[in-house]
Amino acid sequence: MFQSFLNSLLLVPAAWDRFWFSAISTRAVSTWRVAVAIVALLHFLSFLTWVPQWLAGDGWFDLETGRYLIGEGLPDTGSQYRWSPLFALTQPAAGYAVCIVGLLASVSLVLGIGSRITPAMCWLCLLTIHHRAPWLSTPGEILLAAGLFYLILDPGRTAWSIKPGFDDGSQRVSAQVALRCGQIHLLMWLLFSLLSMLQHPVWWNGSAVALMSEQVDGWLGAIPRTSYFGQALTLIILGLQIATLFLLTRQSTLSLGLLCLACFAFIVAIFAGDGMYAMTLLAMGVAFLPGTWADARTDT
Amino acid sequence: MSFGSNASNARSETPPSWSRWTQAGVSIALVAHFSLLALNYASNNSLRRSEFADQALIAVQPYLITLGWYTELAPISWVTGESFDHAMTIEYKSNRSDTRWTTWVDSKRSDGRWRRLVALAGALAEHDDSDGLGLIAHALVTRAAKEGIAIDQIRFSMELPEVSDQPESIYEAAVVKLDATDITLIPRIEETRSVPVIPEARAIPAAKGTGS
Repeated sequence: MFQSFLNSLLLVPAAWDRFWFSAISTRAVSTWRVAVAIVALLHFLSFLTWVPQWLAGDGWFDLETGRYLIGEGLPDTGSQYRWSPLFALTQPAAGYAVCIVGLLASVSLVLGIGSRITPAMCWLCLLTIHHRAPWLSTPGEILLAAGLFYLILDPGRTAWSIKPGFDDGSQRVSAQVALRCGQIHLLMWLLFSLLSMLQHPVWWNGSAVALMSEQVDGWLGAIPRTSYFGQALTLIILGLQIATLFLLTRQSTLSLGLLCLACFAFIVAIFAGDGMYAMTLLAMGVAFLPGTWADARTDT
Repeated sequence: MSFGSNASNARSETPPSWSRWTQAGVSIALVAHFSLLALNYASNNSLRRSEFADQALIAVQPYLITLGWYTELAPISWVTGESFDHAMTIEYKSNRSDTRWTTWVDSKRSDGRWRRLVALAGALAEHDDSDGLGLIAHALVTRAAKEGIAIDQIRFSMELPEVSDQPESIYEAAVVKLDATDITLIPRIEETRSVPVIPEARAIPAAKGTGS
């Protein structure tokens, strides 16, 4: 028995190499890239509506407030690493410029133009805004930044080459690494989000959904904290996250896992009122798309 | 875990691969990267971290913050049930002799960015950071003047349905013009308080937004 345990340990390096370093068709990462790029495009479009007015030197979230809230001058806050040019460029035009560059880079990323430069540009523009006002960043933006960073490793092929039947035969290890990073990141995100939720009594006593309904004017209105409907929904949300985590880690249940993720994203959009976060979750989930993997295997 | 690991290349005679040294280097980088992320997310969410985790996160700030992995200022959880997650309103009076407040921002009916801002204001109030709250109020009043909204008095209120039917004021200040372009805010101080509260670690010299 001990010998078999040792033998199984010896298999770990090979399994690790297979998991991370086996070359796959770039079609898989291309599909994921298009999904992430479309969500990035929507983010930059929405940024145009607020970044210039909010983050200008005299904006709603002016320079002094921004500097104070990143802890400038205080030890161990790491404020010196928040490198946003928007701290120096305080005209609204600078905000517009960042949004438009990000927008153009997103369009290029959808089309697969520019190789690694376009995800890098998108990522830089997104972080420029994030570092200027991290307190205003939404969870969706943080998750999107991660997806864009991993796409710098390998953005795949041009968009028009992802349709079924077309294959330019390119297979790369970097495509595998990029896709795996996206998958692991999303799983970690869901796991720690779940752990965070479970630390708060509202998720145990069932009043979390009611609490959320009080914060946003959703189409269900304010749900009473004592209602069974709200309590059941709270349990369903927790169950969906647990199920997503479990099902996405098994090849045979990927479709179910993605369905659970989609349901979770839908609830995020409805009850937390954060449609962008919901779309980002779905875009990151495309990294798990069974069809993508099936295509990759067909290519082989 | 498999999730697609059998999608490996089996077609070409010489499948593209990386050298053993490259694989070893990338493996170390991946383990380090995801370990730091896990530490970061775990510490961020619990908001209660060990001293080891605290020091480790400070040590790797150049990596985590520069590349945007540091999420301390942007909670990854979509609802936390924290006390500052309550619905909030920002109200103002164009003339302080008015008896009625005009609702300016209602977090329940606002977009995500305003909700983040008022949640931030709630968090600052929760931590008695009147300087930070004052700066936010100052920025809002100054910008509002540029947008044509005359504000003479501003108030942030939080809805606490478990305590009261009426929103509770967490910050209120009167606007005083210093000159044609500059203003300062005089916060309303609770009747029981004899001196303004300025947290020592957060005190900043001559914060123009506090007026204190």
